Amino acid sequence: MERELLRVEDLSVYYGEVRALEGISLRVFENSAMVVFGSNGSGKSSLLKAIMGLVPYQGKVFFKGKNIDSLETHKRVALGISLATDLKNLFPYMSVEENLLLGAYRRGGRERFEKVYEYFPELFEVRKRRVGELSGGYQRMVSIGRALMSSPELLMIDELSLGLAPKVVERLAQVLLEIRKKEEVSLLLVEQEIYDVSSVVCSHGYVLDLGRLVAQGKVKELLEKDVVRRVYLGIA
Amino acid sequence: MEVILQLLINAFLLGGFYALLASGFSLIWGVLGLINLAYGSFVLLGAYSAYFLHQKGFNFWLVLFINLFLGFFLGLFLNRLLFLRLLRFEALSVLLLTFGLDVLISNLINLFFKGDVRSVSLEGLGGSFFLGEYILPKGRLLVFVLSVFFILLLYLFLKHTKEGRAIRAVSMDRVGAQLCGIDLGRTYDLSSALAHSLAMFSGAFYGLLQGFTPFDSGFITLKVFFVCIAGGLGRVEALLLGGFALAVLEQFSGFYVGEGYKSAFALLVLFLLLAFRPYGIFGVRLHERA
Repeated sequence: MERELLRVEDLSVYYGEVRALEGISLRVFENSAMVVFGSNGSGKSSLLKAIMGLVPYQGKVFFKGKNIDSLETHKRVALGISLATDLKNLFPYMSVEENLLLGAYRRGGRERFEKVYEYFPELFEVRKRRVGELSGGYQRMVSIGRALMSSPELLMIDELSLGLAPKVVERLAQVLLEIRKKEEVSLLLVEQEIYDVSSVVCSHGYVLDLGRLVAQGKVKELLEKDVVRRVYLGIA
Repeated sequence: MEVILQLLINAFLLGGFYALLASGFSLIWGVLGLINLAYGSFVLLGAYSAYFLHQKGFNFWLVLFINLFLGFFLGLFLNRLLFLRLLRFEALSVLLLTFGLDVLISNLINLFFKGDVRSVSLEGLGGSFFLGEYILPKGRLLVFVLSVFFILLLYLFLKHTKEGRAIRAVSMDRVGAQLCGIDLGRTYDLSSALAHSLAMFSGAFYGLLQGFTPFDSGFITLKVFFVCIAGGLGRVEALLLGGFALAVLEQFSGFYVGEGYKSAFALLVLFLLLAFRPYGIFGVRLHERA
């Protein structure tokens, strides 16, 4: 039987008067891979930020059955939740190695270096270079590597494929598949494009539109749903 | 030529001290994002504490450590009481509130010590060493060596320890730091404690180098502001460069134009820097950081 790792209940996020998310409920199971699809402004990043405790929200978030609403972000990281954001939250003046080491600040340790370099051998070559000098693809690897340093039980990735060349995205998808095989980690990705990297990595998905969940199901079947065709293609 | 070299030697010795003087100010600015206009009054507290304790017969080296501890706990207390609340305020409110704190501390010092000019004097530091034709005043040399030593310690702490890396991470990206599991509140506590520790520690040196009154805090804050603007925020090396820039400016304008014009020149250059190179003479442009 599948054991529940993350449960989000009736979650809403408001920025002042503006609604980013309303009434979101979803679940992520142990050793599973989920994706949340949504176009620009649909509230994908707000969902991840709320789960990490980076933005105030209404509703409830449970991790391994425990309510974590009152926990600050660093305590959620200590429990085993990790978020690889888009590139802006790296430390550009620090070396690749320092960025990775900071990922193990709360949990994990230096021994995780080997694992990360095993997934991304390219990073070992540039480990002494400052992250700000690297290309977007490399920075994305640092971002995922840093999140992996804490040995997370839930790894969330915000728009893995954004701004990257298709070859790089393909390579990252392969690494994610490898991580799923070798680590006891569940994945929660958010993506704009249906049938992008997530269709390779994830089996189940949700679709967000204007802050509400409008569909869920197997990734390959999502595009068949009328509501998804309307949201993405403007046809029903 | 001899005069120019002597002025450069003086500037070199003074620049190291200015770097230490500004290190705490830079730490609070970089990590908490607060411009603390009361910083100079904490340096003065350090100078008066050194003066008072030394008068009471305490060994000067012991006084330095007492200042370090006093500053540490004062910084911790101040962070909990004031700075954490100020983080939610707009920049102008922060400037006004820290300015108010500066006035309060200056007047409290005046109440206890009166407005006379004081200084800390140590036996054996009165004379000078001679390097050929050039003079190296013993007091300035000692302060320079200790300042550079403590700047080096600060550099090693920030670069090679877990907590130091956390402080640097918070100064670069607060969200990124939280995602690494860094506790922002604890990092702010440590930064403020360390900053005020450095302020009071360098205050003892300030008292060794020159006379002071309770109302000098504005001048001191101006100096550290200059060092941070000239060097640029975010790196310990920048403090040394900013410190030397200020010292060179003061030494040369003081000699060629007149002692009374030193601050005017520093202000003029500060104005030009803010207008044309707000990221510092040696600093990195903000858009290059992204």
